[in-house]
Amino acid sequence: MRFWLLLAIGCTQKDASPCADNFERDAAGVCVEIDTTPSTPEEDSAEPAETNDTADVPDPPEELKPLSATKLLRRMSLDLLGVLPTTEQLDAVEADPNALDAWIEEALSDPRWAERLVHVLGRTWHTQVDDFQLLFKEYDNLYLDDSNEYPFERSAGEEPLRLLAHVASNDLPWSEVLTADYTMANEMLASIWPLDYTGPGWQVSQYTDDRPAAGVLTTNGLWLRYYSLGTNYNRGRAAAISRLLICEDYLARPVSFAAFPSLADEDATQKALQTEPYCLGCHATLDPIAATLFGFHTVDSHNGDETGWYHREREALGPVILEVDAAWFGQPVTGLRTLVHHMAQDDRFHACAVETFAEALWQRDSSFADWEDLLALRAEYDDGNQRIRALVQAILATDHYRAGEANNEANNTARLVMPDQWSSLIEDLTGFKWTWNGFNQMDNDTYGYRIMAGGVDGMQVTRPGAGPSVTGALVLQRLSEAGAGQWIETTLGNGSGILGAVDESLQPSDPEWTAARDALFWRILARRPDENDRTAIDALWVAVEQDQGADEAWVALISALLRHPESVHY
Amino acid sequence: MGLSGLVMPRIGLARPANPGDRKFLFIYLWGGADQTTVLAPTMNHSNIPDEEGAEEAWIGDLSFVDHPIRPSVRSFFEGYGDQSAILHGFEVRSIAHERCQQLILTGTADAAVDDWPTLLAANGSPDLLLPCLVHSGPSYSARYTDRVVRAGETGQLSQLLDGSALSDRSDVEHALPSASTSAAVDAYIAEQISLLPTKAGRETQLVDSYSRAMARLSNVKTLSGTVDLTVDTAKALPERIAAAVDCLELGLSRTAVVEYRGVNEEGFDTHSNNMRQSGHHEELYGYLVQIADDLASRPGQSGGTLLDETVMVVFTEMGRHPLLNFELGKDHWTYTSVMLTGGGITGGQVCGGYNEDFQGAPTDLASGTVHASGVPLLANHLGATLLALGDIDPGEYLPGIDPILSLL
Repeated sequence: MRFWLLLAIGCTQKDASPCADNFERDAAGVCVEIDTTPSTPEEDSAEPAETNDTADVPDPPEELKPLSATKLLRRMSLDLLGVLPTTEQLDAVEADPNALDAWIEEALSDPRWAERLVHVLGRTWHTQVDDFQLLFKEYDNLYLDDSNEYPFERSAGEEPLRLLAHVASNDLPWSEVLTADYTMANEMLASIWPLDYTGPGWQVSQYTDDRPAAGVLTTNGLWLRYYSLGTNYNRGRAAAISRLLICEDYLARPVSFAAFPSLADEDATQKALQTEPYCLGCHATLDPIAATLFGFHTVDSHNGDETGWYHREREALGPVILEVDAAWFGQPVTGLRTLVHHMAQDDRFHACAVETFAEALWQRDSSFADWEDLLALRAEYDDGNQRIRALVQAILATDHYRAGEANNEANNTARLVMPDQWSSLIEDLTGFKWTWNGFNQMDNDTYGYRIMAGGVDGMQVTRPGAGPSVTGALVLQRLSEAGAGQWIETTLGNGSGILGAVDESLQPSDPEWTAARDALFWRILARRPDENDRTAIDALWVAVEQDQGADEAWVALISALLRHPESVHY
Repeated sequence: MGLSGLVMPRIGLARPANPGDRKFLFIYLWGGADQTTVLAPTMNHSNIPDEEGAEEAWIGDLSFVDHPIRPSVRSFFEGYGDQSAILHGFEVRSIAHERCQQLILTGTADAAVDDWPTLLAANGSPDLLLPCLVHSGPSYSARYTDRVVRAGETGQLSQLLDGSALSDRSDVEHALPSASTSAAVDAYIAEQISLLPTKAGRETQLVDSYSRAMARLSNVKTLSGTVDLTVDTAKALPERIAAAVDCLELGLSRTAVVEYRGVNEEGFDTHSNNMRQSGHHEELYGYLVQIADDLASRPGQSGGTLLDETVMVVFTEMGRHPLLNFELGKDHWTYTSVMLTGGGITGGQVCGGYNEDFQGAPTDLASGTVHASGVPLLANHLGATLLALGDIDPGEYLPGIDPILSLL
């Protein structure tokens, strides 16, 4: 999927490709549903039927049926903000689906969008790991307090992601992720690394150790995750740069040592890397990138100080050790500073941005079938001065993003709610955040439930869960029970929020009760309950109320809706 | 001193009554274990210097590296060599840990596939409550996500099941709803699932998967008192995976996966001071003896022991270069070896091999022997062999890849 987007160079025209069946392009170029009222028999008879039995049977045309406006709002809200839309937002979109456009504008300016980007990009950057090669216990100021573990791991792992999110959410040119002379830091990072930091929380900050301005490539967090040991000499890091930023995965290429030189030749390996065509296929371009990274080369990878500081004096080691001149795919560079400028000019970098964000929001791998869509998105990205905001707006307008049903299972018409989304939506809805001893329990696997709930840890599980699992269902049960419990404990009977005037005394026969029930249904599932829905959920409430009382009945009702089969996907 | 002739293979090993009942315990050695430390003697390789004091030893036709400082290795092969087979020369076709991890478990770099443990579990009895129990380590699932159950590295599953996750693993203690309330909510969800209209595409897949997961979860909740799923990472490997072995014995799981990282959790990635491999292997084989003893002491479901119907698969994501580097460690190597023990496989044998330059030698899949007309072994051949052992047609998942028949 990577190479062909190169063909899109200079392609900036508006998308004129045909829409899926039952759609047509409006004035803005967006596919919208058209009237599909069945035609009359007379109209049908005007079209001759295909009678040639020997003709090749073409693949059936792709049919994408869009989500309802309110379900689409739910999808967008979970994707962009990690929360469920409010009942007022649902009301507005229900009344006027065009209100979605204004909602998107607001969402892309919401601070929660940057927070979402951290998690969305984390699924492919794999930096939110539970264990780095360097442990928090190897820092003098951290090792005595175990509660530093999670803040250290997430702060370090999120440093590169926060920089990406900062550039994207602030509508800066995407190339700034490569050229920025700053990073993002918080109190934890400021306490262990040489940073000019003025808090609080995550802030734009600058390293004070004279490292070159190379954006995400000069973040310590990235190189803690993609560490380099022994004789690897930063090659693994170079491969990570290629995979993450130009979507060229060296590691996807099969490597065979079947033709490896004889072991009797002591220098065989080094010679092979420089002379054997098979090896050169990768190393001719990989090693010159690795040669620019020796400012991060460490002798003792378990030394917090050494790994935290940039070593300008070691930059020259790269070409010497690797016996190559530093370069970006044949273009000579003098170091990281010039490397990133070549990268920013490389069309693959921009094609990769389009592909990365499209896949992130479509939540599936792209394929050759997506050719036209990706070309169109690339044009939107270029028209938007290569900023992510315009790109994301264009992705959200694609038929694939808006599809609710498809005759092709490759199309991701429904997505599983991920643990980071559950965490933020439950907190937003109920006020409950599952923490323990400094850990966000929905965001770690040492003590928590991230991969058990379908998430990615970046090491043992590298792709989001493809579907609900036993443990995912169990985690959701406990999370929703705790969330619903806290919500009821803090709001039932106090006249506020979605429960309004409901207290323990009200019954399903009371209008305030039914209004609260309907509002919960509307908020959580983004559709109005019908009579069958009401009958079933009322029966649950009544049964529990008779047995355990009203408080627990409301907990049951809310947790049941959160665990409803329409709630676990979006 | 070699062991040739000292230990005679046992005969008449019990096999599962039905290969479809065969179970699998995957023990993953993280970091790239050096196959020359135990599994692959290099005494006949003139290019490869031998570890001082090491000798090649034999159990029947199975050879391994024996060394006085690794008595547990000898103990293991004395006790279980006749039930073990060593498979040499699989090429994983990468030298990057994460990629190799995926390749050895799935045979492909395509992420949207199910790994061997998941496939074996998914094709087992539909009544399994915890079909593929992952204690720790990597896991790849796509089509059969609902068959994979992660126990959590520190006992998260058991705490979720009994609800203590909301007290012992939460800063704020939350009371659980009563059992009757939980049952009522579960029933409501089951009903709602059954009422959903069938739609085309992905949504139906997700709802079906949710339905299966909820049904399985409902039964898993009944396990309280039957099996203790607690995991204590502070304990040694055999005790740590006792719950997984319990699940195999009770017929709750078909496959279990555990990651082992050697002494002090250091991992097998020894780019410097390769002698650390010796310590890791000594500890590992001591544990393997205990685990095999445990399996052999438990009854199987076919009249033999649990070991008779459970294949222990000891594997790593890649091999190590046969020569030491300048830091006296060993770098990555695309070829690796795997050991299978128990499960009624044809033990006491070595399949495949390494040539003079320590590359995988072509192997005749029917006999398992090195032969010029054989095929180079890939991770897919390991997968095909495991699937065949599990009574699954490998062609269904690995078209054109044949298993190593001499093991079956």
